[in-house]
Amino acid sequence: MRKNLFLLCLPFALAANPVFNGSFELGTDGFALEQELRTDLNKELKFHPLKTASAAPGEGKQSLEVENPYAEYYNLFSKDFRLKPSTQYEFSVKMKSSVPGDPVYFGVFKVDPKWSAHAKTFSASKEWKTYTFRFTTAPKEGWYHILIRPGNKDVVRKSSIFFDGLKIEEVRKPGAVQLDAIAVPDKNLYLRGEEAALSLKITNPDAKPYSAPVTVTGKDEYTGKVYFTETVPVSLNPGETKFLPLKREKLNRYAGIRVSVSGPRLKTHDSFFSVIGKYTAKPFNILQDFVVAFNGGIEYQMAPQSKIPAYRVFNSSLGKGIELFSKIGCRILRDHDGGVRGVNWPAVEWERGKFDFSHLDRQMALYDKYNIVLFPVIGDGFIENYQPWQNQRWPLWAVPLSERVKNDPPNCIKSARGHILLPPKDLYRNYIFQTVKHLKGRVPVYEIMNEPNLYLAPETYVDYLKVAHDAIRKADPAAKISAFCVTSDFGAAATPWMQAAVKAGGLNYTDNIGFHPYGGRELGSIRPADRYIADLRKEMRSYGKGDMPLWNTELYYLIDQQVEHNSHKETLCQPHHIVWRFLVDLGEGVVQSISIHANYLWKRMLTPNMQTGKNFHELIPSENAVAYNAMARLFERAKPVKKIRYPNGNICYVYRRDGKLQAAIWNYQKKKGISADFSGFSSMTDLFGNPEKPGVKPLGNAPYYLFQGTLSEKEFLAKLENLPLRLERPVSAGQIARLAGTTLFVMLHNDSEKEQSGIAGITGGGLSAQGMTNFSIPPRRSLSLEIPVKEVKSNGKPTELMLYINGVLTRIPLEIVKNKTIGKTFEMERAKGELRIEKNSIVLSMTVRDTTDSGPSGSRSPWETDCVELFFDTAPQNLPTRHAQAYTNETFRLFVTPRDKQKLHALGAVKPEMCKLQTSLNKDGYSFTLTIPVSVGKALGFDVKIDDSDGKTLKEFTLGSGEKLFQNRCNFSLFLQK
Amino acid sequence: MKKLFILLSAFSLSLSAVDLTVTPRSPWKASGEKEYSVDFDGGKSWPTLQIKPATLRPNTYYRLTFEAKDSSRGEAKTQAGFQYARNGKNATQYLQWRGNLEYTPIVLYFKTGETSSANLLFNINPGPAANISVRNPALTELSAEDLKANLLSAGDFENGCNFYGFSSAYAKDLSIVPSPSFFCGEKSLKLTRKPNDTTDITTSNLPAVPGKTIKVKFWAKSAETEVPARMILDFGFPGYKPHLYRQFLFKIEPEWKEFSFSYTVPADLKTYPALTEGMVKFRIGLLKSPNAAETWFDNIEYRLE
Repeated sequence: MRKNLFLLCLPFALAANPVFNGSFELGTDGFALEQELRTDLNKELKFHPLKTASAAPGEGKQSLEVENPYAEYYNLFSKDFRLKPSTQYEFSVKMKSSVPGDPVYFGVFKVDPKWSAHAKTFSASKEWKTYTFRFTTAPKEGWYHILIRPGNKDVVRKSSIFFDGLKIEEVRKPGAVQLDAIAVPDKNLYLRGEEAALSLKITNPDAKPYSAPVTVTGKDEYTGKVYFTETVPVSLNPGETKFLPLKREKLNRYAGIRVSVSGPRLKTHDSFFSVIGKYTAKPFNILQDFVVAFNGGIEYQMAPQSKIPAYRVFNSSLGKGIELFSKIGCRILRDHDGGVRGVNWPAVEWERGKFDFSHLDRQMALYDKYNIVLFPVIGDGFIENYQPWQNQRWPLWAVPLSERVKNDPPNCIKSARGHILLPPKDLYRNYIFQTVKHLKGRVPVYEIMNEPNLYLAPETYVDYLKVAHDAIRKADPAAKISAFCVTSDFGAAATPWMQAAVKAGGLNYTDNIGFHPYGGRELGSIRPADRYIADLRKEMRSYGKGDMPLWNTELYYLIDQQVEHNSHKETLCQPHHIVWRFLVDLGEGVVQSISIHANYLWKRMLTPNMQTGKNFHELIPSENAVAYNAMARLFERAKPVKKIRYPNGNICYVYRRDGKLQAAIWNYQKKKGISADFSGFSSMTDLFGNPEKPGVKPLGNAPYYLFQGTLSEKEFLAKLENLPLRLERPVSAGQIARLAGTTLFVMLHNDSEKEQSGIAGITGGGLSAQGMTNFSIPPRRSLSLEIPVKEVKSNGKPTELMLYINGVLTRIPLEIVKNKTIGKTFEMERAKGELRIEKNSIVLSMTVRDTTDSGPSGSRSPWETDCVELFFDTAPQNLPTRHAQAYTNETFRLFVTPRDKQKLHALGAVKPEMCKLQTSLNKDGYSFTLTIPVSVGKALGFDVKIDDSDGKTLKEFTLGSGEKLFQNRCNFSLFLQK
Repeated sequence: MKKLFILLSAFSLSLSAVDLTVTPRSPWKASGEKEYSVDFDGGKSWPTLQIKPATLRPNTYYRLTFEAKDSSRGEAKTQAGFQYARNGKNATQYLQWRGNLEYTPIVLYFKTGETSSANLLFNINPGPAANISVRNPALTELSAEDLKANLLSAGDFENGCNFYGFSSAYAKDLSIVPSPSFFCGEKSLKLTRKPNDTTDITTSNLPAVPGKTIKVKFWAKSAETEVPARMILDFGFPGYKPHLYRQFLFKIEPEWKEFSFSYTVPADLKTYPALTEGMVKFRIGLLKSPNAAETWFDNIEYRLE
């Protein structure tokens, strides 16, 4: 190839191309097509996959063809790549179309999670032409991908478009040419015992020949262990492409396998396949049999998203996803967030009085084919769609007939305020009646609305619930109703709403209670998952309905991490999160666990760095799918028998299935250094169901499953109850340490039955202990350590607590929270104060400058008026192993509102009536002295926030620098007694 | 325990402080308040700084502290001489000390002979030229209680170092470096060794009272692999036979580990006459192995009980 030599001689020579397989010599690998299959023109809803055609001149042998005979809107994605920040690049592509003038959009996107793009639309001609544009990247480095789509979504042409020579090159910087390489399996989903046929595809665009060993490695994505590896000698002439068959791999383990290629001068793309066990769908009773279930749909699009009703597919035919779900073992799909639902009002009655169930029928046919039961969310749509990406909620004709809620209830979330539409009940009833009648006998349970406690007044919900209930009972008396669907998402307090809905008679109109446990995701959460369920059950008992079945109908985010809510990071769950939630719901007697959205089962291979939920583009079952498959094969239809809670965050649930006992055991507190001796059990597996040899095993995130085998039930239970546990690390520490001046407060916890003595030190993160600290902790007790430290030059490593016990050194990463230290007198913006600790009380005096009266408080909360918010923690050195930031029994808040009738408010154990408050107003503001009857030890967590309102605007001033004081006690400033 | 180094000045309030008269002999000169400097040309002049203690007691341990600065970063062959009488004869002990670019605290120990007459001096052997300065010399008598404390003042290496190469060949194997994540402090002693070689570092003389038990504690770690090592208590003294020393073997692992050894100094002075001097050198060495070795030490303590 002389082409590259020529380009290097140009005055503005271009750099190496980061786009994988931009010449398409390897076929379509590195690209995926999302398409909207039109129901009007594409009657069979046939998907035309990407294919190769003859190349553009000078571009090798192949080009990419997007065959579009039905004028369907599409998005063509490339594999992502890194570009340098603040750098000028040139995008170029060769293109032709069967239809001249066909407008085509090319975008270079970055989603991190802010969306940004450099884009241009070109009109294709019938002849090959080169199209280019230049752009400069943002100052922040990042991952980009190419998106190609029709230039005008509303005017797509029937055509075949061809692309070749897709490049992005740095202007004025020549670079080394790399070879594209990928090792691909013959399919993405295998059954255990099958053989994977892989081939190494490699192309040499360089002017020089290539000769080097190339290694292909298959790694278990979850454990990181190498599944197979093969090194192949590769020789390629300039411009040559080879497809080399590799050794066939016998697949003996359930796993998700990432296949990588490595070698000199290679630009590679990983492939992925999963190995599952055969699942055979048997008839089941949805009201009794616990099965694998997801949220999701078949991505039906209607107006306003799509002028022509269509189905969005992901590099595969319509229904492929459902087929894969069924192979995994899914039996229920809750129709939510998966495009327009089949039972949505606009879908079934777009025109008033004219019912069209074609989409619903298509959905049912697919589900029936693959033994999946539809669990529809019906009658949902009260929040009007005012954002372009939102589905049409009520039919357009019903919107003007609906009543807009003027006074949104206190529970209504901010984004829904002013947007709640209440449809006429007769029309609402008829829609539900007709739909359920159409589905009679085919849908066993209907859920009435999704998360109504986020937008409807409880009484309003019950009104419409009754309407739905009556309609369903009339249309299909055998169908059951799941209602309430209460969520703790967005920090919503579900209980007051539920109480009011029950008071309004809501429980008369439902057969089971749906709940969304966002506030209690894991056993190790601040509000543990089992306690969340137990509290709900207790609440139901208080209503006289202790036996009412509970259904977890949604929990998209399984991880309990401090990340932004609804962010891409929050969706990143692993197989152990999957099975934890399944096993906990099963073990706690929940009837069905319909947690995640099915989108999270697909492996993100092309654009994993595109920080949005729908960044998969193709349907490749991930290791999470393998975990669900294990649940389907091993735990479907099991019944809970027992729960055994061991010390140090270890849990065991025992179930009965097919007459035999089995158990799942794991550590939910993310503690390390714990092992269990499983000798004596005859049968155990890992979380995917791979056999494990019984013996001593580390207990961690990944559960083990134990099976009764040859043991009697009594023996099996006795072995579990007396399971020998070993602690390698008898002493743990809270993950948070508080730095006040030159003292670091750390808490140690002795998790063992023996006294533990040792030495502690601090290193890393710019901190160093000033000496070694000796300690001694009684069994099962905690000890607060004060370690003198100094700031030193950072060694580039994070801060670690070093514990040396019995000759073994343990390093525990610490998150350091820097706290301001307060003296007896303090000053802040707008105020000054004095803090006195007396024998059994705290005395606080403050003078505040605030000349604007906020007026009568009315329904405003204290912090929305003229208020001094006080934060107290009488045990700030108490730092539990996890969730140290959560308020404890020793944390309380007081609110001084000197201009109000009620001058003192409280949250926590200390009540206003326990305190003594003297206030006085003056022309500059006010002052007060507050005596609080609590005892304080060596340290007090203390902070102040002043709220200054003039009736319209609110200003806030804080004493310390900590954020979110209302929920993070570790951010309070510290008062240290000498 | 990491401690800040406490300098004992001639005006210390301690009753055990001994007055000193310092006389710089040309080319040494007084360069400041209790500070003395010399521009040494590396020749055979042995420039001398005389340090005359006021009164000393016989058969008593003393600690000499001072700070030293050396433009050659410890290459110059600086030493302290201690002139005393033992067994009816005059003797001189020479104790190596090394300064650094910035003032470094140095501690040396002596035991007087059977008379109270003793003299101290600093001089420099022929070798690398350097600009040398010393300041704040102080001499303190040590009581039995004092001897129970950690006698390695710079055992945490935060400010100074009590060790140097056992021979000039090993001098470059030792350095004070940023600590590789020790429990506390910023610096550790790094000791390296080439493949199939050995290395040894040693302290200057430390008090070793016959009949008392020496207790040594230290922390050590290696870079990647296990490294065989030894600790030696070397009671050898010029002019005495036999040469008594005690070796302790240990293995340094890739994570910090505490080592402790103890040895009761024999009371039999007839069999071990060198013990009359009442001193020992504390040596640490890395033994031969096929791979190169990289090790660190910290919090070294030496006590007598």
